[in-house]
Amino acid sequence: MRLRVPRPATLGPLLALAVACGFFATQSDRFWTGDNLSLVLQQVMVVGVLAIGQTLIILTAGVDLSCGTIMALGGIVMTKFAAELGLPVPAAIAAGIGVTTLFGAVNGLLVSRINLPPFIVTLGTLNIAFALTQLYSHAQTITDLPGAMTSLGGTFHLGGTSVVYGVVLMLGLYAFTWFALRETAAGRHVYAVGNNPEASRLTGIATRRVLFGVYVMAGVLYGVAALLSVARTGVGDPNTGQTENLDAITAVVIGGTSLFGGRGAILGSLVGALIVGVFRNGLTLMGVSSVYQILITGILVILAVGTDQLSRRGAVA
Amino acid sequence: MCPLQAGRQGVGAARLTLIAALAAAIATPARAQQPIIGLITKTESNPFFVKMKEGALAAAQHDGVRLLTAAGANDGDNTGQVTAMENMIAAGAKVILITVNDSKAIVPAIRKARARGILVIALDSPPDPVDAVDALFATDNYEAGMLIGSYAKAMLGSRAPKIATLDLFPGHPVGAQRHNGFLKGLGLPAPPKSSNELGRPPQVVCMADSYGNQSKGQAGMENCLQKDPDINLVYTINEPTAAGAFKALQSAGKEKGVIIVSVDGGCQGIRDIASGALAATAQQYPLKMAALGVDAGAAFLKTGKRPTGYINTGVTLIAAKPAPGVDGKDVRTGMALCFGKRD
Amino acid sequence: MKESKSANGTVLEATNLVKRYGHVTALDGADFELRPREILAVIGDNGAGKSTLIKALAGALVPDSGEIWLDARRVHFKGPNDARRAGIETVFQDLAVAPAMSIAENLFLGREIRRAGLAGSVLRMLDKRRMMAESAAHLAELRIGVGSMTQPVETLSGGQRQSVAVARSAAFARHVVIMDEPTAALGVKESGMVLELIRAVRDRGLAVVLISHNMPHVFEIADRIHVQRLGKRVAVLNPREVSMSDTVAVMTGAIRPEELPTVAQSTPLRV
Repeated sequence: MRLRVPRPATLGPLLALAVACGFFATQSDRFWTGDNLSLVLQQVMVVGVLAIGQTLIILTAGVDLSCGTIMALGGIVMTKFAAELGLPVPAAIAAGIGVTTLFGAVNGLLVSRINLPPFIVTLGTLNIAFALTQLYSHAQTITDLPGAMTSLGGTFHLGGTSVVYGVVLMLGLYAFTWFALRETAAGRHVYAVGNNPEASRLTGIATRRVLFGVYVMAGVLYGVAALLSVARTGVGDPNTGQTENLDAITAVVIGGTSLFGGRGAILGSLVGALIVGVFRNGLTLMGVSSVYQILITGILVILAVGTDQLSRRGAVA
Repeated sequence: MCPLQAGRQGVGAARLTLIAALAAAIATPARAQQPIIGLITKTESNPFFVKMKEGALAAAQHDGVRLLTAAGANDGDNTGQVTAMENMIAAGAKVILITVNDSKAIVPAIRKARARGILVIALDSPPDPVDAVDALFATDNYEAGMLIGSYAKAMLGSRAPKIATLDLFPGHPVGAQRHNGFLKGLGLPAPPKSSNELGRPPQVVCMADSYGNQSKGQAGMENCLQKDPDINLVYTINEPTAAGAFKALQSAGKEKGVIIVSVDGGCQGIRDIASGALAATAQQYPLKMAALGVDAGAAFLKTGKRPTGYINTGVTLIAAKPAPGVDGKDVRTGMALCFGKRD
Repeated sequence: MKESKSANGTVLEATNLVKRYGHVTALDGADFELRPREILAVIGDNGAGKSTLIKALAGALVPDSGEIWLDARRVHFKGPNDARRAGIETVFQDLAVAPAMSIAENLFLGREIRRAGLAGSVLRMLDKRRMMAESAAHLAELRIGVGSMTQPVETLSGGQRQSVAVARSAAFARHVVIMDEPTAALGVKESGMVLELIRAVRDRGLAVVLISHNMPHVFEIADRIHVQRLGKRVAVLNPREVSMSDTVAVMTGAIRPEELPTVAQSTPLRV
């Protein structure tokens, strides 16, 4: 089996990441150290997992504006259940992930059965999840969590640096999703539904089930992201997740997945998330104002979408 | 920040809240005769404003006026606040209390309201120019910064400060005032109160944005520690950010040697001071602000007397360890006066 | 009500199909007969009920009344999957391919082969090697010249894309391949390629139903021509004995089929 060279759409983000890392390494000798790189991985951990769900949805030509706020709700549910209701930690975590999965299912139902545009549906769920989070938490962070709840924030030693367990979980989820999308019929059907939903229907693919499944899977992943967020900060924060809505979409787009559906690589989203994290970290190390970080993120998004379009135009006969 | 999202959300959220409030107002005919006061906060989610709303509601009940409430979708959402103001006036509100998200952009809407005889009082944050409103009940965020700055200076003693600042985001006046006031209190060169730019003397080795958010505060602190592991003083825009900074310091094993200061005075923040996670905070009084605002509004509705000028609702330094030469109060006092969940 | 049809030897047959949409009658007692190993062209003006007839045969709609027989058995298709399972494949006008996916993936779209053993049943892994090999074999059998099975379909020319869609139907069809306007979007050379391909499909043993507006193409490859008019079958013509202009005249109603010489009319198997 020959090794397939990644297409320009996925090669581009990797190159951008490499160039960024190279640049920051020259600007600060603290950048390219095991500790700092481990730090960047921790910092992108939460958005990284959100981006997996977002990638699945965007591959079907949908979009999910509610991912961050659903995650926040899941985080509040699991921390409140554990810290205030005294539920055992696994049950509390299951409850949190259950809530996020439920929201994913609602999104999926409205998109696949009622045929509402995903942008509108998730815009609505975004607000509903946000309001429910505020109401249930009374706008207070939940502290004094049982130790087991934050265990994914713990570290182990790998070649001189400490690596957070949550990062390993994130990488594992990416590997699993990469495998499923590449090697299973269900994964290929996700691409088919995004690329040509009518063709999928006509060739016998259960299009509605694929769409529903993608949103439910994403809901589960948002719950895992909530657990990672709780593990990292040590609290249940009702105000988290608001910028993560767009951060996840940004990571997916920079990673080369097309918003029109049917094209993209899951690992690209990891690269996209890393690019944003690397810039944030690198610019802080350089002492550059954060305004430039926002500017650069915007430029990267345009570049990513532009190169994807251009590479496609070159490939089509 | 996405203006489109903020705008749509702002309109949506403001409208929803207002419709709910209006529905409640209409549903109780006995109270339909009551005069109406509108309160517009910056966001729904910050406990500071949640407390403010509670205080306003209590004062409104006491004064026999009907209170309508609304908020922007997020920090900086001006459109949502303008819409809320228009809707409240249409609903019959004769007094508007507002904590402005954007000090300049809100002014035309305020002027339009006042031209119709509506009393507009700004709470917590001044509009620009400040005389656009009838009166301002606020705390001086610059003074708050100065308080924690002078506390930090006293606690540092002879040590040279190596400072990290975890700010809100670029261009926000409250963020700038607290930050610059802090520098001034430390005795360092700092921009004046009127500036929206963040001062950066050489002692500030790292600056990061937290958006007032705990996890971003944590990430900012982590990156700053990577840049300079010898940071000994951290200024944070608010207490959730300080909590994030503390977590980052803990992970790096540095929490003992670093002083963290903040502003707000929420109950969680006071608890953090008690536990040693936070050195000092400048406590502000949203309840008092809101109550004063509602009382003044009620008085105007009854007697036609307009409040004017600037009334400082006060800011107090709360710290576990008293600093020589700096006026402050202890944790118990802070706990008694804090906003948020008490136990 | 099952009648043995094997003596008559039709592959696909329909009698008295009726389909109404409100006040509009799309099929008004339409008949249909497809013989083994033949190319039957279905022609008709707009509103003649051509596409309704074809959709009923392909399982895309359920007629109000009438009977459909496949290979001597009565069938009731409730959806396109039923027809597909019965061995009837359709090549749609817009091809129904996923452009970003490879030829092999498109050929097996919705019918992917899984690996043997645990890899297939537990891990649900696809047998990509086998799908590629089989795709290459199917295309080679029909003498379609394409480079690699891993090429995305969107990199192919219009004619090549059409060929891939035809190959897909031929690969999975057991009795009938229905093609809806296969040469409509193609130039002269590519049309020739596709027509040759349709012949190859017939030569492999399948019966082909071809819907087309293109009279020259119809006359080039059809064995018989089914003329649909006003919701009914009005004639089945022999392209070797009737002229193109007469055919069009029958289609538009300018001539009545009885006015044509008997040799022009194809002998029905059933009266």
